[in-house]
Amino acid sequence: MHSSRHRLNFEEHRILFDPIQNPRRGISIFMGILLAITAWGGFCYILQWRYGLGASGLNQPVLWGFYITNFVFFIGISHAGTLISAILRMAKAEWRRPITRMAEVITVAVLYIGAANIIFDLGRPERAFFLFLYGRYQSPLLWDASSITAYLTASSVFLYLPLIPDIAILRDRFADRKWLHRFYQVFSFGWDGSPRQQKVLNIGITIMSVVVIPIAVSVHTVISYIFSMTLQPMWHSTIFGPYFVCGAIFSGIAALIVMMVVLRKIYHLEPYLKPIHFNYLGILLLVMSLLWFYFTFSEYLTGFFGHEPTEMRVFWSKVTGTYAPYFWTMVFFNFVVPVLILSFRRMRTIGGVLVASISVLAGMWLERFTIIVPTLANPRLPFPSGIYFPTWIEWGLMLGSFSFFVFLYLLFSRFFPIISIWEIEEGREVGLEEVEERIRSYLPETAGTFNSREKERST
Amino acid sequence: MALWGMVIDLDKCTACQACLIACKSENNVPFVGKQQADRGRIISWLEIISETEGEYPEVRTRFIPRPCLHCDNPPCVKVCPVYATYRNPEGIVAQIWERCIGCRFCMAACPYAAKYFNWHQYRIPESMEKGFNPDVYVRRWGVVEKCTFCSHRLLRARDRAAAEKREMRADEYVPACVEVCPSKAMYFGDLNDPDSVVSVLGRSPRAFHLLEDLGTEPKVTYLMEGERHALL
Amino acid sequence: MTNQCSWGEGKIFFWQVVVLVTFYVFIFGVVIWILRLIWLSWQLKDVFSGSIGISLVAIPLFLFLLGVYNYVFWGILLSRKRSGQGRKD
Repeated sequence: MHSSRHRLNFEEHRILFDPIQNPRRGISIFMGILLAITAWGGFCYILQWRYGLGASGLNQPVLWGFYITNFVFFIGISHAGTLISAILRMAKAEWRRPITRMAEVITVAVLYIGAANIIFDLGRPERAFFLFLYGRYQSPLLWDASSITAYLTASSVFLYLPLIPDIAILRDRFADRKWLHRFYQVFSFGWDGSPRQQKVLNIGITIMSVVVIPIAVSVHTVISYIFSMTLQPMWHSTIFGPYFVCGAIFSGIAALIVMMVVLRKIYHLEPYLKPIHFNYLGILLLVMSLLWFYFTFSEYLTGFFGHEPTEMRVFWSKVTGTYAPYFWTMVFFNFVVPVLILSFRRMRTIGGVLVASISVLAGMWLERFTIIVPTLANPRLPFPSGIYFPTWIEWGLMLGSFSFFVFLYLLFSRFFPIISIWEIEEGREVGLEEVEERIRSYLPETAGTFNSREKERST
Repeated sequence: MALWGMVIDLDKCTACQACLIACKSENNVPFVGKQQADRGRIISWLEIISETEGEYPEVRTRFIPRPCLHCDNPPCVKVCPVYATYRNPEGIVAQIWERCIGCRFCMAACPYAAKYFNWHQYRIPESMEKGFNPDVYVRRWGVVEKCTFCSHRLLRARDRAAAEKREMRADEYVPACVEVCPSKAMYFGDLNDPDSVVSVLGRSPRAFHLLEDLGTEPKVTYLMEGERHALL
Repeated sequence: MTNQCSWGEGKIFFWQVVVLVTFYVFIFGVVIWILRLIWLSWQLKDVFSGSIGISLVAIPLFLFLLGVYNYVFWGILLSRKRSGQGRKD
């Protein structure tokens, strides 16, 4: 880290200030449209509030549907951020620099939306505060509540800490904008890049990137427990924790790639986000796709081989029955498409990686759906089973959730640089040397250094 | 303290559904209407589960009346986030309608699908108003409801005994379904009393529980069908 | 550059303290919430040991987050150059 204030050339990073300085009209209009769709979702929710949860397509026995699917999906996406950014920071992957912030923003934005989807699913949302008054730690839902709160706190701090030097840059850059300047003044916490401040911040970021990883893993593990702690067929499975975490990171990387491509396009970030970044993320996505397939395979083969009748009813309804179209589309989107595209270097272009990511996002949403609904639709006791069709209210809330996510993201980019400026600068000034030094330390010492050491020793 | 339990003799059960109707009217269970029923939202605390085995002409249909089984190790109670469902000291698994937040986790956890959700604010049709039972609280929209073993009858019996300054006898408390059963296939009583009819029948070699292997320890015991068939 | 858009140091500091205090309130709110859960499980004899087990992880975690937050923000805030209100670039 360095003191950016004096040496930083504002003009050089003009692209990054542009969304804040002269927001483009098209993007404002787009944000307006997103807000309108969100408002439509809000309207759907008001209707549901008035008519009761019966306004959705839920029934008995399929008593969880789109809302819970979206909840699991969004919380899964949130792993994009913090987890990937923390892991890349820990691994000292130099190519992370333009990516980390984008990833962290996804986490924070999406966690709120995931939590909101749980509220949508409540029959009596006005009683949600009972969780605080009369909560009960035996219920996995409370584990979720604690774990998501911890994750939200940690990832907000984790997003904010590396933002401080950038806010200081903005404070100096926008000294002529009254409220914006004051806003940045407050939130830069008097950052001036002194060595003491840099040390404190660096320690903070390092600690947070260590702490955030177990919290992130716990979040999706605990979410999987909602299902696996019950006795229901094909839910009651020990593999669910890691399976869900794997799926979460998988969909998270996909969401990150999609957001990167979109922002690269609309904010002209080509100098920062180069094909190599997409190539590397594509490889990560490929690894996660294979891991996901491995988990899915183990899960379904174990169920099939045991051939327990109740398990098999769910199994067949997924593989050949009512839910087969969803199931096989999921396998196609999550495994076939990404592996076919990402296995070949020539296909790991920005376009290729984008197609794979969109496919993974759709596939992972279907994965959540095919985990939740078929089990509920095939209870242990013979039941006059209903088939679940979401109503337009559920579709409206889902659309609203997605557009609100994009809206929050764009809103963030209107006030803060979406790529960490000081970290890019740090990469130039410190990173280069550090990496050279590090690589040298991996290798056996050269003859020259060896000889000089020998000489030293002999004297 | 008593531990309330039920025995249902499947040999005697004719699947007439009198218990189901008695339960509905006793507990003010809402009529959801045809449209909602088609969408799979019938509320019926006691359900007659039917299972047909085999192909014509070797067809056999079994009927099993299923109230809430009031498990001693209830999976629904474990998952409730707000203490809205609990097992009381007398073994009745109760639901507090005014506490329930409607997350439906208990419904997802119940392997017997014995819990029901109020998808709308349901109303009792005008023609049924005379049958309204003032002893039973009416559930409102958005909460989960279930069979209570007609616990209001327990309260009433206990009150009456207290007014008459005597101990309540176990046979004073009988749920509506048991009371109406025309073929006397249902028995109810105190499982803690080894001589009660439910305890005696519970020791019968025909006794079994639904999905026994799940370890939920239901307090509704079934007596297996087949004794009459064997005699024929 | 002198500018009238800037707030004085006192006013900025006030708002910064407000932000920090909000965070304290949040964290202690969470801790009190968890303590309340434990107390309830004790009162209602509902898997008290499990509640303690979870909170043994949860409460220190939140306090640890608070600690990191404290360290970084007070560290940055107190080591800033205090001399000039306006930055003279």
